[in-house]
Amino acid sequence: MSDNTVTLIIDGHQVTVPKGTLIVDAAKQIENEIPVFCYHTKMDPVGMCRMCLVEVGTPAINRETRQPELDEAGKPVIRFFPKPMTACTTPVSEGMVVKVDSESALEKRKGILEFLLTSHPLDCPVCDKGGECPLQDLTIRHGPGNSRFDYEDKQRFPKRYPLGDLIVLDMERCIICTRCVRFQEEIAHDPALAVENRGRRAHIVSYTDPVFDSHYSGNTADVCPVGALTTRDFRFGARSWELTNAPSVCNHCGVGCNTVLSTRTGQIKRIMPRQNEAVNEVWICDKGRFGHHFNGSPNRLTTPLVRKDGELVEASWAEALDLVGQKFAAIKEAGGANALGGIAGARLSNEDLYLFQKLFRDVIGAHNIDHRVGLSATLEDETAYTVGVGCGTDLSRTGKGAAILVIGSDLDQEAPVLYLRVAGAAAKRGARLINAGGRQTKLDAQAQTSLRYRYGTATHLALGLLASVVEQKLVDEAGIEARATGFAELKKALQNYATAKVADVTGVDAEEINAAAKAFAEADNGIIIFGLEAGNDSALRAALEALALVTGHAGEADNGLIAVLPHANSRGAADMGVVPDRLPGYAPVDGEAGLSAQEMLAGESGLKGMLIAGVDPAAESEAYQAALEGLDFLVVQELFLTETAKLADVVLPVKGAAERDGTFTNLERRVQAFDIGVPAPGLAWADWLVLVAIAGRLGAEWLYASADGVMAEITQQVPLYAGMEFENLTAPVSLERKTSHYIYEGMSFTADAREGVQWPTLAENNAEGGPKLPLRFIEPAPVAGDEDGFTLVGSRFLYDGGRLLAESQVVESRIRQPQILLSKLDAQRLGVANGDEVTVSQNGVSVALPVKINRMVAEGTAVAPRNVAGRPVEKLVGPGGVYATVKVEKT
Amino acid sequence: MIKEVVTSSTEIARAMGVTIKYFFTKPVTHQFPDEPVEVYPRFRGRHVLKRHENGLERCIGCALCAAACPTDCIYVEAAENTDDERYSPGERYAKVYTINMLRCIFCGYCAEACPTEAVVLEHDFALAEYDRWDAIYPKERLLEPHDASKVVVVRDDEVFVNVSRWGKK
Amino acid sequence: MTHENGIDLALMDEVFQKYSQQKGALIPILQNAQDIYGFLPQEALQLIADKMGVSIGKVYGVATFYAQFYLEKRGRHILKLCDGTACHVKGTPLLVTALGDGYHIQPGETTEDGDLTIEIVYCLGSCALAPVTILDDQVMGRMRPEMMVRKVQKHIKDAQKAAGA
Repeated sequence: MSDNTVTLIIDGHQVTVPKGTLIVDAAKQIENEIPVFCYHTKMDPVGMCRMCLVEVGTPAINRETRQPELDEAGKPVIRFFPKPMTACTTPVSEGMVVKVDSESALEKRKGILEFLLTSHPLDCPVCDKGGECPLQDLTIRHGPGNSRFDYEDKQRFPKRYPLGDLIVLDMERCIICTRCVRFQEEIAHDPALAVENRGRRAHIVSYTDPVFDSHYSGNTADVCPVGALTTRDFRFGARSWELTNAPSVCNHCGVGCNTVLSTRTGQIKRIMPRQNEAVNEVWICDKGRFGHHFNGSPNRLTTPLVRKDGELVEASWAEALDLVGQKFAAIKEAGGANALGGIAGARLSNEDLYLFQKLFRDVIGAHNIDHRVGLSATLEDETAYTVGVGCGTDLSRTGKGAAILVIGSDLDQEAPVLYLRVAGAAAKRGARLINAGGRQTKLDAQAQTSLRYRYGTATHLALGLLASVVEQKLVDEAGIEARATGFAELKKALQNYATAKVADVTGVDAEEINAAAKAFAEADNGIIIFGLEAGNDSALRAALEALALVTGHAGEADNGLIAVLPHANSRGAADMGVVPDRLPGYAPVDGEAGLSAQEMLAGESGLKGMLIAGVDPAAESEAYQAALEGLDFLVVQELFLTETAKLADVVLPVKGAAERDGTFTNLERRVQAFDIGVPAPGLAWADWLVLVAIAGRLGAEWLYASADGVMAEITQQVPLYAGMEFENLTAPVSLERKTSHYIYEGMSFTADAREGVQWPTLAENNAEGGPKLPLRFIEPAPVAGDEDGFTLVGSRFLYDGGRLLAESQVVESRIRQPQILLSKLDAQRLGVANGDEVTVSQNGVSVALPVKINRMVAEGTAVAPRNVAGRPVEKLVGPGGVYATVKVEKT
Repeated sequence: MIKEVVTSSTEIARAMGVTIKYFFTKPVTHQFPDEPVEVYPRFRGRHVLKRHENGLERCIGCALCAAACPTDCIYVEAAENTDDERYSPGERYAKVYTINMLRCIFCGYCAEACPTEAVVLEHDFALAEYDRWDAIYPKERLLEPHDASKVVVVRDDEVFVNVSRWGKK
Repeated sequence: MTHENGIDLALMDEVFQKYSQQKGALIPILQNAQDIYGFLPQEALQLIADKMGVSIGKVYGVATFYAQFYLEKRGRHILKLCDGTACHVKGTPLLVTALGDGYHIQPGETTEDGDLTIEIVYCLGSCALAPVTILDDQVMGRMRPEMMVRKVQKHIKDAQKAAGA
């Protein structure tokens, strides 16, 4: 018997578990499924439903001798509690005996079920939960065959009561387990739901405006153990047994949530989370859940289009590809390889991106490729390569002793499931959370420390923290000696960033900077998460890299940096070398670097022909559009006829992520494979296949038969991706890492759980004796003096005006329209109310925007969503900019 | 020899007797399709989708028939009733309901599985078609005919409990 | 409806001051608010939620859970009818019907003139007096429908007279 474990007997089977384990979890270890409704693995136990009643006995202790009483046979006497106990709230104790299947326990559970069913309607045939319903299953297993209650006395409630646009409540079916309410409070930190009244009149309500305002509302339908909460999207879509389930990975943001595509007759009927404790646990956000309608949209491109007499007309693949081959060859002949360039969207898979760069580098012979358009235009993110979070990092376990520093990211909007995990680490598991940002975000509510800096001074703050760590002598000296170079120079440079001075520049209290630096440096594990709102400059990244190395928070699990990049495969695009100056695997190019996307779209680039895949620069700015119009020949691979595609000479229809297989690399460098879920519309091809065909027309002989085959080459050519064959990526996860008992998670695990594979960073390599990392210092851009006017922040919102989301009608009402968020005081000062229009101007550019008063916005700041219809903010802050000082006047 | 003649004659006479006897009985065969055929009450012929007395469809699109079907010949797609467009009394109705009569083995499991007694195997057995595709019966052909003008309009609040402020104590 | 009642939220300041140092003081704050306004107006609940830093849903959840809190304005006189097992058997439903006929209100409702509110309670512990009712702290046992309506009418009239005098 060790100090930290407890041995008990459940239904005659001995089981040893850690101290403090609940009986229900202990029973799970020996595959003994104690029925539950209100208990959920991810939430605190409440013991509300009483379904898990079991008989519990403990060894009797003799009061005088304080020794266990022994019977004649010399065995300890077990004294059972007179009443049954709830297995979900009772922790185990040494020598405990639990009877789950005793006659008395069965009888009690039968009684509980009879009570739960007194008012539960027998409408299983029309219920979306039917077939995957814990209440249905447990009633069949444990319940009484009939009820003694009067049918006429049933509690009646309105059916199909809309809880917002996305969720429908059928209160009659509800058994008040409060899983939804607790999910919203404990996990989503959006207390949008509540229980009102009590007893039989108790019901679920939402008081937020708009109703049930949360990015995570769809999860409540998953955790609901009955059919009380169902999604508007899947409503009556199909019966659960009719669905075919394909494992997939969400393609809306860089978190890379594992999903299940539930399909029927070649259509996606719903998207559910697939368990992966290392990525999304059992959650996905509403954008991922409801934003799948682009796949089956009637607006999709179905045949290649070729421009003839100024019009795009349908053509065969052979015709279109021949034309692309001829034109590209001719342009290369006339103007050299550097007359051609390519931009690939970071929504493409690793296989597509690898072949994209291979096409340009090997076949055409140019380095003019890039994936960074818009906000990420100046991004040169290699932090993941150097000091990215260590392999095996698991935010679902990060807690006490860990510190998380978030800089310049509104996680709730930019990477929702990452928000859940970071907030959970702080609020539930006791991690120290430091949230640094230019404005208040939802994460501030969970953060112990909020550092509010002036826009443009994020780098100064990072350097200030670094200087404070050095000043307070919290440096990991031995670690620096062993793995980094240039500490002396860095130290010297940091002398200019004394806390007091940084406090003055950034507007953050000096004490707070010191305290935050101390907390971060002294933590056992430290993770830095930074977003694009902190500024896209290399000075910031150098400072954060140095901070991670100097504090020793690099090169091991649960330590390092996470960059919150904008797209599903932004990480993979950098890994695959779809940048002008780096080859796959971050090796620098031989000779001169090519043109970046910004240079290619600048107009005077000298490019004659371009290949653009899965990205829409023409929609970003009018200048880009003009540059594209100036090209001799433009080829676009797209799902839809986007603004860019409308300018193209050849448009090639491609498959969406659900229609093909491939891999994405997420923010934590986890490479994850997704399967084919539905057939593609018309004649669409996978992007990699299109690239193979183009390469073939240009004389290359590429022999790739599948995405799998491309990945096989990547594993050979890119050392970072060694061992990432599809075979390994799709290997199912061991039972220890997943819950096979669906009643505990409130959803059905209908597709394999997979874990994905992370590649090791340089910091991890040098922990094992690899080359030392240089500590860099880059002088930050000078801070502009105080100007009169508002600081306008163009920030990313979850429901933006993206092309893919536009196809999902169910979230239509949540999609951000052009607007400007102001504080109440500022609005009063300007004499405007909600909905009134204001003119926002800067340097002669002015746009009119309707006002929305928001209490999260500070005085003097105005927040406006990026990437919405008309792109008004980008006009003011620039497509790659974050903030600007503007004048706001009443129109 | 004589004995043989006598026995064979009697045999012939007996056989003729049987023939003559049946000559005067009613025939068991029917002149189908000129004459209608009587079937037993529990005969399982072509499916019919029944209606309620008020004209609304009984089928709620639950697809339990499709789940029960051993030949997988039933295809159901459900949709939601609204006040403006109501087909069945509850929330859900069958937007698409198709039976492939070529696959169907008329086992009646569908009718047994039906929670609303909407699908019933009735007595129509003459299912010959000129085109194989015509043997796939859409909902319109399966649905019991009903005078559309007699369909009672039922509003949502007559079907469901509708408390304006059910949060009220 | 409630915001037309001229709710003075400044009256709550003192309450918040009193409980500012105390954690989990939601119930006493609600009780104090009810003492001030006679019921819990929507605006007050919103204010309490904001000041306490809890969701409005939670405040409503607590306010509706306990029978002691009222979300709507109540009448000047309150009649509690016991509908516990004994009283139910001895005829409380008949009393409810009689009141329904006489005042056109159901349990939980208030008459239009704001005179009377009737409430159903479960067991007042006076089962020997079943069916038992309480009219403004005055316990009336062994009630019969006509008798009760008469007593209620008299009670209201007396009070009006007292107020007039």
